[in-house]
Amino acid sequence: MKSQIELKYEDIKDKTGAKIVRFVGDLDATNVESVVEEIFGLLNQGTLNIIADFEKLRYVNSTGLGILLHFSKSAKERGGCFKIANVNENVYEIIEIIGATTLLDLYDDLDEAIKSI
Amino acid sequence: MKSFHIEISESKECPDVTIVYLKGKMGHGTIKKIRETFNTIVQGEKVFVVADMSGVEYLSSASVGELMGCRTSLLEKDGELVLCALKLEVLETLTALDADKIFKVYKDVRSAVNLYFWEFQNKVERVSLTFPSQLSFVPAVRQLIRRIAEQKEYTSKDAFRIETIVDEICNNAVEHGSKTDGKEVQVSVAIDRHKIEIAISNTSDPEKVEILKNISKYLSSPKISFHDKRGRGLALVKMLSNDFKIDNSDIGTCVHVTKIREE
Repeated sequence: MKSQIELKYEDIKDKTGAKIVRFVGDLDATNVESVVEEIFGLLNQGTLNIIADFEKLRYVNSTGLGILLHFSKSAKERGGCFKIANVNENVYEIIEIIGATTLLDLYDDLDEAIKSI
Repeated sequence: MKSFHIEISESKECPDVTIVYLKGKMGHGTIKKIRETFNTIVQGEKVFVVADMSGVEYLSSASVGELMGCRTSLLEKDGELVLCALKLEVLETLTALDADKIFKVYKDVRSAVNLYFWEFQNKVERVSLTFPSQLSFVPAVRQLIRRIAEQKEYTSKDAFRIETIVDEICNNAVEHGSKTDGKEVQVSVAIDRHKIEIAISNTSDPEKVEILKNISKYLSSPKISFHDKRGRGLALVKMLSNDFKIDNSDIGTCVHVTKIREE
């Protein structure tokens, strides 16, 4: 009975080694492992610039936030980036309380995030 | 033109609630009758009023204005006027005038009367549940408590915070509690219109007693860093709550949280 989460991938025009990853559902302690596998799968295959679209990410808890920081750190260590766009108001509040707004690369929308890579 | 009919009765479910049954077309000609009816009610004791609109076929803007005036008079006497059982076209009129932001609208009389118990009698509702000490049960539990809060008209933001609180405490209860077969996590919720009180308890894992002794370290700040392998769940809960307490004993831990409803 894991929480439902689905990651959908999309190439970014004229940006090699970059992908948009759309998070759909809830990110919590029951499904972080499968998300870690998928994101590290991308990084290991050479997709070092990842833009996470959180428009349809309804929920994230402290465990989920922990792995987002891990993705960000790992991507940077490999010379890439893990940027996040379209965070909903409720999720943003949790990110803010946890103090991760300065640690994560957050963007208001996808266009802004894409332009930055 | 069909005639307009208005009738006062008391609720079968709760005699303290006045039911006003309205039928027909509520045009300009009906305003005087509505005003007289509500004046009678305002002068009495039973000032929580449910307007049963199931028989209303048309609602003029002037009638809506009159109902607003009646509501104001009732509010001045610590009462309320709520509407129920509106036909779609009547509801559309109300919405077009933005009056749906002023009146509470319910599907039926019973739902409206429940509001009286909730808002005016300060009724407390309690939910208790027990689940096996496994992470896979936590999402269903936290979502249930969120939905209860939403159903009780807590804002979606408050309901999300409550979901987070339940999730983080349950995760800790599972992670740091005993893993022995048959061990469970208990969740108790008491909710009223002002606040929700949550208590989540588990059976201690003897090997994790040291963590519990140093629990204050985990509560000092929710701030996370790149080096943290674990989140700051309990500190996050503390930030989202209005009151937070942990009771430790040799047999188990119970986390108590109070969250005041956002108006």
